[in-house]
Amino acid sequence: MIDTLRAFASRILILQGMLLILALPAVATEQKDAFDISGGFSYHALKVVHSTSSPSLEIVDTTYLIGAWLQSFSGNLSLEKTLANRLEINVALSGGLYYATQDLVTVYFVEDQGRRTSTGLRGSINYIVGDLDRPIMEVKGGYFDFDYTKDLKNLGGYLLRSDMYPGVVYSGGGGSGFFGLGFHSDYIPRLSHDLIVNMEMYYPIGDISFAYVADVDIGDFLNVGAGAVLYRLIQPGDNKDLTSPTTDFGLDEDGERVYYTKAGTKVMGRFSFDPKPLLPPTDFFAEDDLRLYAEAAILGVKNYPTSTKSDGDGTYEVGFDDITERVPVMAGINVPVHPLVANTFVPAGLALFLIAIEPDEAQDNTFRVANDEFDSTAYSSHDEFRWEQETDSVMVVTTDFVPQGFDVKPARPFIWAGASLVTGIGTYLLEKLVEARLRFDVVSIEVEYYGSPYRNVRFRQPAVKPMEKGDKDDWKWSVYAKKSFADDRLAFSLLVACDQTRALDAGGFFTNDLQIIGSNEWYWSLGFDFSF
Amino acid sequence: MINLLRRTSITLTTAIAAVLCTAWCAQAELIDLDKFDLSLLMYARAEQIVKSDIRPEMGYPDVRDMNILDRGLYTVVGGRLGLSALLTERFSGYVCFDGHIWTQPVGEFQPRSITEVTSGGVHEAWARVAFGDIERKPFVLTGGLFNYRYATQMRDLGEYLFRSGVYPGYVFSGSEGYELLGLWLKSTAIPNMTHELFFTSIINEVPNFDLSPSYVGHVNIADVVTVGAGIMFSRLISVREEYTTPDSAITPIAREYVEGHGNVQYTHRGIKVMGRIAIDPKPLFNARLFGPEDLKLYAEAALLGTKNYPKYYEEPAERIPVMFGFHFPCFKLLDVLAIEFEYYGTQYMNDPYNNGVPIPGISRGEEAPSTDLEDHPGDADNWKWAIVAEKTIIDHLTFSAIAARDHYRIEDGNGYYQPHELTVMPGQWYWGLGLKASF
Repeated sequence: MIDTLRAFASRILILQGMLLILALPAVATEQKDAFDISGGFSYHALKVVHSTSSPSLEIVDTTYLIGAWLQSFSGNLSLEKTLANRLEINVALSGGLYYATQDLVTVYFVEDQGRRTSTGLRGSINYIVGDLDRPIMEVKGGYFDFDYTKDLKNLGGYLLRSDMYPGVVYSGGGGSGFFGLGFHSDYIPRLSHDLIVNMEMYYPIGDISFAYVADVDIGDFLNVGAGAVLYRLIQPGDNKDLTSPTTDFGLDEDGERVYYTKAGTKVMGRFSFDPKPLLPPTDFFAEDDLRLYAEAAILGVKNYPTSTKSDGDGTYEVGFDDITERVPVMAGINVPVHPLVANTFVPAGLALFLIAIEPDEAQDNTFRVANDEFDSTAYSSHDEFRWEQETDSVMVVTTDFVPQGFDVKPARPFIWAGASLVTGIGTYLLEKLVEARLRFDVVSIEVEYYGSPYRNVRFRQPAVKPMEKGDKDDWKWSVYAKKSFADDRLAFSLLVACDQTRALDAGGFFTNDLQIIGSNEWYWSLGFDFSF
Repeated sequence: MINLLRRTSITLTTAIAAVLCTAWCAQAELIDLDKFDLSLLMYARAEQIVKSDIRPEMGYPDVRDMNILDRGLYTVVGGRLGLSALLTERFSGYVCFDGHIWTQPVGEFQPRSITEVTSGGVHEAWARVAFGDIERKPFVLTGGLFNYRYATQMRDLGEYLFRSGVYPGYVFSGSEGYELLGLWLKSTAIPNMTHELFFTSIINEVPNFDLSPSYVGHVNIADVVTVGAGIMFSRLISVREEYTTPDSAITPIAREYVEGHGNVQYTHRGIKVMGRIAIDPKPLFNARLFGPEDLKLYAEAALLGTKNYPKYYEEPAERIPVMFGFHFPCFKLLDVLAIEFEYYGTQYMNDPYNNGVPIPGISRGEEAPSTDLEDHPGDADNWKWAIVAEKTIIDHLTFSAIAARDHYRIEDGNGYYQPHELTVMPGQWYWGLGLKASF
């Protein structure tokens, strides 16, 4: 059945490509002069406040990223040409400067922490089918961006921006890039459909996936959407051995082998609820205020039986027999941006929350003792200790955890609350004084739960050892604020988050390394965007 | 003192940003022009290293004394696509992308690992807003990634304030300006004077990202003499102090016991000061026969780090690069024929990378100063020189030629340079030809 589907899908894909190519000369005579051009740049700086991540380190150091500063700058230039009434071509060039996380170990400074440059390209051909005023469908081919919901500020976007077996989710907004074909239709009023056939650009590269997303507007206060992805449905050439390796399997109830695979089916449901049309008219709320949105997905509808593996640390279970561990869920709300709310309660509440989740501070003490004086029981009074045999001595590292949060500097909550109050009232009065809106455009709070027992990083094989304390990263959260000026051409943004942020690799893609792991770890980020 | 300056700088920057934001918001009337212009630049260069005994970083085997760069040829062909936008009478933007193909220089010895390299990315991207009188634009604020020069008559050497580092000191050379990321406020409100304030992030040398406020100013005296000066508080605001001033527990050599001085803590933070003068005598007489660049005489000196430290930074004279140059009269046959000389008396290699350690002579991958004589050229490399010629025809084609023993470095594929300069000792030099076509 699957093979039949694959064969059918590949023929459809080829046929669609041929149709698109054939359409070009058919419309080439309808030349138009329309030519749109745009450009801009973005600057982002990120500071890690708490993190236990130790990306790519030979020696695990859970304080490695605390205080790390990451900075990036990128520019973009886009050209769009309408070749004919129905045919449009666009090319977007992008590139930037970015850096790996700086390392305290000096000998790695030069090779790993220097400046990197990235280049990117997007390009697609768009073709309109049917009546120009009310097209049946828009067909897009090339490398293009797609975002099925504009509500998401940081978390979510699970259907198209995730991996399976084991499931991996990403943060950074809902959109992503796709290489393939896209079909969009909103011919039926209030109903929107999108079908995307794309080639996967991550390992195993070249697999072909099919995605369908639909949403419907109910009144002017509710938008409901759903979608499904046949992920890596077609595995051309030797990809089948990579996507579905014959080395990883579990045994079913009959003792038969069931091979794990990174291919499968993802499904998603989401809604966006705006209560303002149901409330009495008021100037207090801005356009996006009070919008409540949520999304949930199943990253792999099929269960696989578990199997037992072993390594130097002992045995462990791998497999995918619990569907709830493959369901990420997120919810978000746009807080009213009125200064007396967004500039007062939000920063005060955020400050209290951050103080409350403040992790205990680890105080390490490293020293050496002579071999004949070393007694491993002498350090049991410390919260943790480890030791390493050296040539003529033993290196001992003891760790004691000092409670933080409300236990230290008890004035902090009051200072933050007072500062928030001053900020809110001050902004409100300043608005009156200069007769301009200085308030944020949007302030969003998002929360996510994802109960996967595995590290949220991309693995090459489906059979992966679960992480220790697998639930420490289940909850994620983010607070996002944005203010734009000059017809949205200048925009400042602020993000305080515990999410799946990652550094970039030499090719400008996200690395596998997470910057943030536990739910009480976080960073803040400032962004400046300019577009014209 | 430094802490006071840092606090003042942060406060001032915050205040300026708040005022500018408020001022921007108060601009209710925006005249939307949306004028776009595309620009294209094609460039090609070929340079031959006549003599060198340095091994570049990328792709070469780890061997020394092979003179593998002798008669090595470096070639680059590239293009730039720029888009400028005049959004309102006060508000404009620009973005430019670069892409080029280049080859590592290879001489008689040609390692298999040396191949052509494709590099590129964003070259410049900035937004600019003008304040004050709309005709004169006495205050212009630029933010983003921009290329900057303060002494355009200098063709290869000089412009030390930005093209340098402190502790350890190093300088660059080249015909292009320096890439700065940050804010740049330029004022021409006072006639014949220009004042420029910068607040920039370090993007090219480790430790990355530190913030540096700078000031550059010059006064024009009767179009004959230009006197300029500048100061840079390099790395005044650190994004992570243990990188800027390395923690002795992690980088022990950054805190050293020096006899008679006790423990000395070295830091990358420091103050650079610069002074320069340019004289153009042509306004003093009938100069119709001369081209606009002819007869210009200019000089610059900088102190790369005003503070002395025991052992490595005891002599201010060793931290002062000085250059002077002259544009020969070409009577419009050439646009420029310049000769420039530089003296920089540092006893160490002029390398920007020291593994993030603020003491000189640390080779790549090493944790202690090198004792290799190759890393301590002493006075042998103090003098540099360059001869540059340029000619532009039909407004769009520029030919150039250079022969020099300057701070010649090969790019690193990421828009910057490999750390080692290639023509260090007397007798080592290179020559090159270039072509630019713009429209």
